[in-house]
Amino acid sequence: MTLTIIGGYLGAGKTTLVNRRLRAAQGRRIAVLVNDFGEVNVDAELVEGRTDDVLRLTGGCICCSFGADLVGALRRVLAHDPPYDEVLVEASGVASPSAIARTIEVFLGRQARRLTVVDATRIRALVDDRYVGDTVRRQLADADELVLTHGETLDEEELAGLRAWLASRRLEPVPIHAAPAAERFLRCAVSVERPVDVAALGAAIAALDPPVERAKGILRDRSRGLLALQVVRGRLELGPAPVGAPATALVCIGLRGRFDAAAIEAIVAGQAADGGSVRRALAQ
Amino acid sequence: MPMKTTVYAARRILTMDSARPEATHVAVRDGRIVGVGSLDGLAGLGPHDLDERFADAVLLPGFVEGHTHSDAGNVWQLCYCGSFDRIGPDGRRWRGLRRAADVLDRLRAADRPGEPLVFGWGFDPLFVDRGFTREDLDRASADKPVVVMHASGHVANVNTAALRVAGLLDSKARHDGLPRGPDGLPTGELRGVEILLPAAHALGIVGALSGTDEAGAWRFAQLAARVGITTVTDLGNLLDEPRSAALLAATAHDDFPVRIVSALMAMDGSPQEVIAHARALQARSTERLRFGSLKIVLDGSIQGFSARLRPPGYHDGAPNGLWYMAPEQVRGLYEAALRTGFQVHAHANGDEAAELALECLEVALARCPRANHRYTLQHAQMLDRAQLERMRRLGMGANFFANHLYYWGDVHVARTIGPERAARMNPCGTALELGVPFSIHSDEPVTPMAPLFTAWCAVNRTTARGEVLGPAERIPVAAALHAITLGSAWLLRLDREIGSIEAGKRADFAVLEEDPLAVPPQRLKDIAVRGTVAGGRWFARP
Repeated sequence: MTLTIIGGYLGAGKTTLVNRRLRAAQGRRIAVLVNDFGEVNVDAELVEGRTDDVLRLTGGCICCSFGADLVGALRRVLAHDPPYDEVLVEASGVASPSAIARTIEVFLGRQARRLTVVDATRIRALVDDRYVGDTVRRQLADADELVLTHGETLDEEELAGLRAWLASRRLEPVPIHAAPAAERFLRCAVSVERPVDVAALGAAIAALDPPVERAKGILRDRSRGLLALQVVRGRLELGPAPVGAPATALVCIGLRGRFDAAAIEAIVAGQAADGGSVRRALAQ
Repeated sequence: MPMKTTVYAARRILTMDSARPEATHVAVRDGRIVGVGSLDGLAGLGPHDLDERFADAVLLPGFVEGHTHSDAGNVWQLCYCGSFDRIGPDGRRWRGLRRAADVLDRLRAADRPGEPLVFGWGFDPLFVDRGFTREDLDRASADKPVVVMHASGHVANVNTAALRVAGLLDSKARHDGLPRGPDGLPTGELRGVEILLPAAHALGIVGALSGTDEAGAWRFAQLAARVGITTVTDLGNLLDEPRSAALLAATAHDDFPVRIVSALMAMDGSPQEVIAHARALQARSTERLRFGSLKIVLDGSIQGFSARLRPPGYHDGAPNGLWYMAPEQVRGLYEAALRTGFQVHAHANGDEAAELALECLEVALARCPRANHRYTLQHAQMLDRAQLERMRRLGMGANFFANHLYYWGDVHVARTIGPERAARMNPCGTALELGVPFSIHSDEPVTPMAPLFTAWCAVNRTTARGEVLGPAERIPVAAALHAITLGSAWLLRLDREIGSIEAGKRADFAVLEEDPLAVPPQRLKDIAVRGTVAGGRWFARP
């Protein structure tokens, strides 16, 4: 039986990972322990029945809410007959997986694998966050395994850079897996051939509803020269372009079914109202 | 038939009404104040009974305690092991113990047939000649688990039987929270929530600490009434059906002596679920039981080294504490609560936790503006001047943990945050100067609920070892009396109804044997409380 603690900051994709493992159980009996049902959404199609603190899932799997008593809940799950093949503990977003693992070892004499889910688009900002930076750094440093989510919104070069950066933050190497894309992403590149008000353009892209997952580009501003624009789920970052970097197209990535390339084109066309040509280069 | 009017005569009435600070008589009809002044001035009210039972006493508005826990009704069923004298809800005085041998004697006497364990609480090794090993506690009971919780709430000593029940006696794993003796076995000291909480669950003692039944609610009320309180706040209750039903049943009795404000612990579930729960509770509010406010906890405690501190962090170099919520969750709850009008009380002990709360609320208010929201920081022990300034601009209030100055002030100087920051802990003086609305509290059962003692702490800032901690932050007696009456009422959004003695408000009085403005400030805590009037009813101190 394997025992895994799934950690990672709020929104990193812990529940998505749990759901994927449950869907791929293929006869393995999995027990999932969550802090609170209010925070977790086990796929509805996996649920067969429910009591106050246990969801019975397809294929003999269960999901229990442990409230404040993780060790007690784990003791019951471990004593279950027939035994579970795999136990997953989903930690809260600010918890330390290694602290949980130490507690489990003290009380139950079992080693747990510590897996930390890392949002590829947010992790660099999170480790420097003035409030939760130390919490997130500890989650990274203590893990036995990292799982990268949202990696599909990065290009290959960025992804390789991120992996190297993650490895450099660790004293010893650790497997870094990329989670498969949870959903299909769409991407479009719009070339902006005249100077525009980049801040206004970025603000309009950031305000899109449904939002783009990611937008980036080096664009020429009407008064400030080349600017690097980046939007990550509604948050706009604007700065001077790296020295020597050429202007690029504006690349936008969004979830299929929630991605409106026409709206992006309209925004760019509106900003380049003096006749700057706008062209969608790529949509896949 | 017109309701009967009673006019109470008093030696002096300190009203807390800025328009009429003092009076000698107060008229009460149907549980409300109908007039305040002199006997002559009240003559126009028509026929009345003159009641002179308080003629030699001093009346203040009933005290309003803004932060306690109703679990306090339960711990007094257990064995008090603290070093300071304390009085239980039944009026029994528990002598403070300074020798470990005396604590053991008391524990041994507390071992009753049929009880599954021996449970002590309030032990403070700082004031006792030595600590306990599991072998010591085996002498209190060899076969039953013995648990002695420390006053800090973060450490316990247990005996061999308790270690066995918790599954820790044979544990091989090394852990800082489970120190071991020369024999390699655990010493019986359980340190920190990572070890203490699972052990408490295994021993079945969590319910004893966190479930309020109807009888527990009565004991809680008696603890409050005997120190002059007429409104007491149960700040942070899960308020599931059994807990809310117990409070509703107890407070339904006319002779229940206090009004309880019970805030919903809003740490579990989405903001939408929390708001739906609060709304359902609010619909069940009564005159003596007020639901509809929310409590969140951002960090741990300073003496437990789990509070979140800004640089330079802990004085002794201990690592920073723990977040109990992520910033996104704090912001999400603030926004949902601002949109729907529910008040949020945020526990923030460390200055970094306070900073996060301020930042989150500022963002949330920009998106969901609401006038007069009165969101509070609770404990708020390390606020600096800049944070207080920002709180005033944001329309917030602070509820300071003034009792800490006495009980842990010396520890804060020596170990946790050092002399400079300890000197400005619980900065009532700066809050007063800046005009930030504030109150002061006990956090019972963490420290004893007694507003005059809490006021004494804010006025004198004397530590248990007799040092004056940060004399610049001391406040005048009048300001401290305001804090424990109208100040608390404001923080609870109840200042229209209670907190001062003026026409239209509830007839809630604290009846004191001496005048707090006339005694030396050092004697404030020693003033005897004769009883309370709550909703016009007289409750003699038991």
